[in-house]
Amino acid sequence: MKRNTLLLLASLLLLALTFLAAACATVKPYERELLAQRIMDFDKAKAEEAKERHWLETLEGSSGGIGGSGGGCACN
Amino acid sequence: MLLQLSLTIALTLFNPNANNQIGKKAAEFSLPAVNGETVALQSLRGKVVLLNFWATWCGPCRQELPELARVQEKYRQRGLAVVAVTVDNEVENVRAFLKKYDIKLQALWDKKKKVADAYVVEKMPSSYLIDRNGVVRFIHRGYTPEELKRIEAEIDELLDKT
Repeated sequence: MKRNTLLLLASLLLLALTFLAAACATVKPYERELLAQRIMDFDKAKAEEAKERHWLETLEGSSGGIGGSGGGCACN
Repeated sequence: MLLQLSLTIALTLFNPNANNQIGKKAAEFSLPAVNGETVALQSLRGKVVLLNFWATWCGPCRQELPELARVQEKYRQRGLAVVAVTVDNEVENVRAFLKKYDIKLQALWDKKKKVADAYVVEKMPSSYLIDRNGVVRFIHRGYTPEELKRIEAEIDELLDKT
């Protein structure tokens, strides 16, 4: 095997190891103070979004289209 | 592939498990109380200890803590000591929370989380029931009213033993 090929293989292995090492990172349950902050939530305004969705479903008669149940009467 | 497999095996073998502590002496510690004084687990020997790990940023912990204060009052005379170890980064948040909800518990501050490490806390909140001889008897993870009923039954059982 040529030297260049070996070098390439070694580099690829190193790259794979880097990804694996990153995948091993864990946060213990009692170290999640910063992660538990509201700013870390993907849905930062849950109540607001629920209202907006309800309004949209009522307007469009599309209740259930986003994954919920119901018939579009906007009664639930 | 081989590397992944060996990593998985290594993590399984060497991953500390909280359940391994059941039946063994509870890890000794000494922590500052939220109000300043220092409390050692050793000083509670002879009592049944309910060691609870909690934080102000943990919803179920906030639900559970007032219940634990009630449990403390209920069993105090029979020899129960509830020790609430907080893992908050800021002790001021803890003081404010306890004051706001008027919770009267022995609250200790595990700032560096060394005690939580030693007890291998796997979920928040977690409760460890330690008998009068300092041996861990039961471990509970998470909080539900049903879980609390089980904890109370176990406290009863441990208090009955001399």
